[in-house]
Amino acid sequence: MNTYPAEYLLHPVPVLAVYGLSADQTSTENEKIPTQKDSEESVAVISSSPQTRPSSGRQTPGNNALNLRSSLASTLHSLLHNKHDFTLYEATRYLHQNSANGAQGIPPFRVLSISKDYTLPTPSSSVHSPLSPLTPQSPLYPDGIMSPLWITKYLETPSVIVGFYELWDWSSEPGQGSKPVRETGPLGAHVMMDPTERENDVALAQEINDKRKYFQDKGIKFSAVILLKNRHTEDPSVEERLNLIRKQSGLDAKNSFFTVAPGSHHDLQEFVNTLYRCLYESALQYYSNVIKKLRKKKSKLPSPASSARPSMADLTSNEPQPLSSQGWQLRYDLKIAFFQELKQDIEAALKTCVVAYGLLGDVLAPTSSVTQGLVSLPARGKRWTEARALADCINIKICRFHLFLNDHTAAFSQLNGHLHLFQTYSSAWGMGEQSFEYWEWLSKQYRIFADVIDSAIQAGFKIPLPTAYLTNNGTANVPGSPLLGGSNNNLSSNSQVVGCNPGAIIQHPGFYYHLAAMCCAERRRRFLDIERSEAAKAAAANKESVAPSQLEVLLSKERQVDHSSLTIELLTKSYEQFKKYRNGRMTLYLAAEIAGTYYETGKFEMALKFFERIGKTYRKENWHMVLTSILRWSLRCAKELGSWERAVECLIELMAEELPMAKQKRADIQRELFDVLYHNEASNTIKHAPLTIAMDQINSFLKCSVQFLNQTSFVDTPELYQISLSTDKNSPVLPFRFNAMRVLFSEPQYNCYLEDAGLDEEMKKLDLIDFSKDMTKATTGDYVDWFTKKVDLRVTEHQTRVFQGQIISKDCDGIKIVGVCLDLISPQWNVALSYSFDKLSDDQTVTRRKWLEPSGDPSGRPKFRFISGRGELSAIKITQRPPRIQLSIHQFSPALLDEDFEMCVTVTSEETERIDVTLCMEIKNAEGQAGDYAWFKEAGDKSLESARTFVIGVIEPGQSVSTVVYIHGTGSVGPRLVNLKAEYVLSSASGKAHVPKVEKSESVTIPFVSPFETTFELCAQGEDQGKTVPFDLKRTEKWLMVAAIQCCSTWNLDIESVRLEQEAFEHPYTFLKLLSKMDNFKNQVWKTSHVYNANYLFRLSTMDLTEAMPSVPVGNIVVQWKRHGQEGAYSKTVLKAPALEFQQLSLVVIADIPSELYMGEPFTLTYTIHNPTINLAEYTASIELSDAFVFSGYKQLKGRVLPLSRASYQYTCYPLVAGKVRLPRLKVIAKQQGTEKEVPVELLAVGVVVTLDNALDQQVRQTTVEQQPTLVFVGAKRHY
Amino acid sequence: MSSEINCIALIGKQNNPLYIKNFSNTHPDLKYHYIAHTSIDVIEERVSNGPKNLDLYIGLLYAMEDLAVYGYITNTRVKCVVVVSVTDCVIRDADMKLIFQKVHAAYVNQVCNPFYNLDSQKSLTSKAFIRAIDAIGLTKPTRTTLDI
Repeated sequence: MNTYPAEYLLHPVPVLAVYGLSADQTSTENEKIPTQKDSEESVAVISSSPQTRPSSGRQTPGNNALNLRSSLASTLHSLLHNKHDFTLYEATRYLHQNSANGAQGIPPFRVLSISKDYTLPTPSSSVHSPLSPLTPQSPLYPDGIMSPLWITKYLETPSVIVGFYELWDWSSEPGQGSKPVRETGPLGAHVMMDPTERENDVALAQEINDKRKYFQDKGIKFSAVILLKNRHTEDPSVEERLNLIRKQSGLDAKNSFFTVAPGSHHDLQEFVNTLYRCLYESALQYYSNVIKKLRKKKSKLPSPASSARPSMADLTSNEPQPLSSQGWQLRYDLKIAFFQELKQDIEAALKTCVVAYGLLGDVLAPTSSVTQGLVSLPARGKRWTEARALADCINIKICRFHLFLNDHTAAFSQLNGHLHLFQTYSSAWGMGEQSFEYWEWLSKQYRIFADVIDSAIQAGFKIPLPTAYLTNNGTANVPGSPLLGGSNNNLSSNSQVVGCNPGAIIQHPGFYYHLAAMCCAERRRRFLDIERSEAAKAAAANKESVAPSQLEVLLSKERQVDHSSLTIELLTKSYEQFKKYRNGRMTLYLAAEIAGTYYETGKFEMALKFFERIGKTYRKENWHMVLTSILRWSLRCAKELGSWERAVECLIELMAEELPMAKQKRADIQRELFDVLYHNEASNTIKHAPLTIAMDQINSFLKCSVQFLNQTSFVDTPELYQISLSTDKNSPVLPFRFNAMRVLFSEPQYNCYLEDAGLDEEMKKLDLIDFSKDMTKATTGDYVDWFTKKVDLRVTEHQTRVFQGQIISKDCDGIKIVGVCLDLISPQWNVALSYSFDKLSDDQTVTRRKWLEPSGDPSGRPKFRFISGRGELSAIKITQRPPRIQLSIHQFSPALLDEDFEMCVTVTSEETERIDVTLCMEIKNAEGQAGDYAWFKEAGDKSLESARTFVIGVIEPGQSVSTVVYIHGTGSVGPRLVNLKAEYVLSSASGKAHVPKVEKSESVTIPFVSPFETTFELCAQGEDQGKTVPFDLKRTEKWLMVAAIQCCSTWNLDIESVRLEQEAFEHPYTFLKLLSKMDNFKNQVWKTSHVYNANYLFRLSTMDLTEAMPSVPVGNIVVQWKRHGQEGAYSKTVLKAPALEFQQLSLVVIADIPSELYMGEPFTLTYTIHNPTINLAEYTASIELSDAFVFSGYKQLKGRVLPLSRASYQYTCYPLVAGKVRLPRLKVIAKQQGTEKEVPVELLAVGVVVTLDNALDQQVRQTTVEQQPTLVFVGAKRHY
Repeated sequence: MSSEINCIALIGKQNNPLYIKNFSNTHPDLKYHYIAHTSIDVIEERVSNGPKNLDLYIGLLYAMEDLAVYGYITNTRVKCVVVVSVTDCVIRDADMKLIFQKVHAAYVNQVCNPFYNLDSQKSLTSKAFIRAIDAIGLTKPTRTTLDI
């Protein structure tokens, strides 16, 4: 029962037989090997017309026409035969296409090549066919139901026959190159045909006619096809010849007589399609007739009830019983169904099949109620086997038809019904669920069902969603519950009550392949069980040689079966299906099953590969239970393979508590791990390469985290870090001893190698192991130059051990702990559990950082303390250490310009060791002036440098050193920025190369103010102008300079001296002479706002008035001063005095009166128009009246005055009133250098006063531009 | 009930198992872990292909061997899977929905615990929650199937 007969399962299509195309056939004809049947006919053919043999010209070489013909024939042959088997969907496509959109489809045909002289099998002399159960020679005799041979028979019985012939032609005659040229005159068409052609054509027609008649008698449609040659298509006479042949052969032009000429492949295909279409109807007709015949026969059967029952005695006898009428009925139904299939009448075929299936079910039933004790087929008998195969095949067909008709529910319930039915039968047959046969059968059913669905899907069938009924309620087709629809019709429309039967939901083929695989696996288990029990029995039976029982035959047969590869094949199919349906996780499950099956077969390598591949997803998604199973399997595989590295990996991961396992088992795992590492002979035969297990990639029983105490640190500062190893609550069950721990830093020089100290004392739940002190550098081994120490490296369950270490960095750098490796070292093994700290796990980002601190008293437990930040700090940043000295500056600001401003700088060392300090100072002026400078008192160098360095020297820890620095500001007032920088190196570090200096900077802003404010007043004391007659080019002016020096300092100042330092002045004509000064004093003390006036009188004279008169610098006033009470030298402040200049003289009118005026006493008023310039001046003048006087003189006048000369006008005035009165004013309008302006009137002896401030800017003075009336005081009358 | 609850499983939104409880004695726990895991794809496919206003109750996911797997997804994308054994009966969706709603309520109670970390991928170990699930799985509900 390994396979079903293919005949039962294939989908039949109408059979078409062709002859006259195949080269083989022609050659058989050539060789003249007539079979018994056709000998008669072939003789007739030969005798009638030997020329018509299509192959007669074959031997003629160089006959291209023949080649052409044979190429046409072979093309047609291949076209006809290119499709032999049709699926249900392909076969019915023609019907659908025709009904749907009228597109011309191609009807399906199974094409047989038969020999030209084919005859239908003549009904044998007996009444029954050779396959009938009634024929003694039949394989079915006497009680068989059906044989695949019958199907084969009808697959080889044509329903339509097509004969291919070729038109006789001269060219096919040997010796004839070509046909004689026919006349092609105007009468050519009417010329009689070539007699030879005619003769041949008639013979051909005769032959066709014979065939037609023969087949028509048998009810088979016959058609003839004439193969034309290229040449024929151009020959008009060919038409006539063809007509003649057709008429004589009695064939219908439309459906039975065809011609084909050589053409393209496509043309020929078209021809074949047309041929098919024309013949299809006839084929269907043929099968309909057959069905009719069968129906008639079936109706003649006696009804099952009335048929004779075999007696009960017959049941026990093994004598074959003749087929019952029920059996006959079944036979007819099967045949009808087959022909309905041939007709592609699927619905009818389905109905017939269902009926036949029901009958068959009864036939197979161990006890049948319907047939009232009809003899059941003896189990495992020949008929039984046949019937079962038949039942299975019909079941498959029914499923297929249902799916084709898009009724998946019916299809699935058919399968389920079939399975249920045979499940109940099976137990009666002694092959119930305990037997491997049952499972084998079940597996097969599922597998074939899966195949059926798969092919349906490929043809466009869609698997409905199991929940489709939830979304579209109104469908009448409630899946899986045909009875629900019937009995609860009123409920099915109500979605509240809707449900589905999960067992009746059709799913995609992957599920059924999987089921098949599971059944196959079960089959194997059952088989092994039975075989084991049989072996036990055989052993018990003490080797008694017994003839092989039926069971043993079965067993020995089963032993040949490779169950596992069958299972794997099924699982793989299922896997592919699920993959197609994008059910990735299901494929993982299937892969696990495949791997398990591989394991069973002993293909451990494959199994391991599968397990490894699928383990990742489960690990990633935390499916620990599944992962545990996979790891256990992997472990077993690895051990079988001797892949000990893999085994160790599995064992280590299995120790993780996340993977659920009993405590005892966990302990076993741990023991096994140590066994593998230390004791097991198989695993310790060779030296294994170092094995590194990335613990952050797997579930780990030991969590490792690192923590730096601080985020940043300084060069040369010890920095602590802690590595905590915490174990799971329940793992490792036994104390677990690591041989070494390696701490790997990003800078290898800090790496540590900690060895186990081999202690055995009791361990605490939480302890702190400080290995930071007394580390030594390894000198030998693999870890030369690593820091090393012996510590206790044991862990046990529910424990946290914290290892504290320290690093001292000599450089500014970022240092990171890149990994911690825990090593298990045995003579043959070196396993490193490697933890890396690149990625943060989710927990770490949220938890606060903790630091384990030893408790104060030695007996107490250490305690965790929260430190700032969250997560895990595996990196530290080392920066330059901060200066640990203090710089303080003592000073009394503001500073005064020009003074040596003293500041006291104190450097206090807070270092723990001696330091060597250098102090740098720089003064920065806001405007960047260069005049400021600074110096150290000790250094004494008073050169004008703004930046200076001074080596202070060694300062003991905690000591301070003071030094005095001076700054000197000159020029402008304003703040100065003084930067002080102390640089130092530790004395311990001094002498080493590249020791970075520690720097501390301090800056202070010193405001500078000027000690003095000075204002200058320059007063010109006019010379007597009257006596400059005659002209004199000499001129002399006296200037009084008053310097008011105000002390601005907030300190009292000791003034040593105030001196005028005259500036040397050389000029050919102009001279300045100090006439007198008043500044001689010694050592005064000036308080704030004290004003001191220094008076200087100068005479400024020039030899030649007409020369340019420069301004003459006076010089500077130098003040020597210091702060009151301060030691040291006097500072010198230079105050610049203003320059003197001649007055700019212009035309002036000077009024002159006597010094005393009295009423009633006349006096003379003289107006002198003085032209001190060197230009001629013209003027007009008029006298203005005054009420206080009567006067006489010119009222109006006009004149000119020469350069450096004057003109006088005198008026005699008589005062009329006393008091302050206005003089009559002479208004002079002078025209000088082209402009006319009024010349101001001045009284004699009015000088110029210029006031200058400290910066020598002339102060704005109220000038009397507008003419003020010239007022005089007139005394009272003296004489009465 | 002819179809007893064989297993109740909760799966976190990162497809990690939150809680898987086996109520049957016919299959090992492992089987249900596999089933719960394979259900993830089916639920995700239904959710992504389904209508936008898909009910929380997804319905039958698939039937495998003798087990029918039902699915449910909460608004926070926590998936619930209930496995029942296949008998030849119609299982009413209303009954399955009820079971899921109870499971959902139990989960909501669990989430309401302020100390429960919603994003934790660890399995649920709360006693109250386990009791609640046990109560759902072990009670014999009223007749929920229509025998055929």
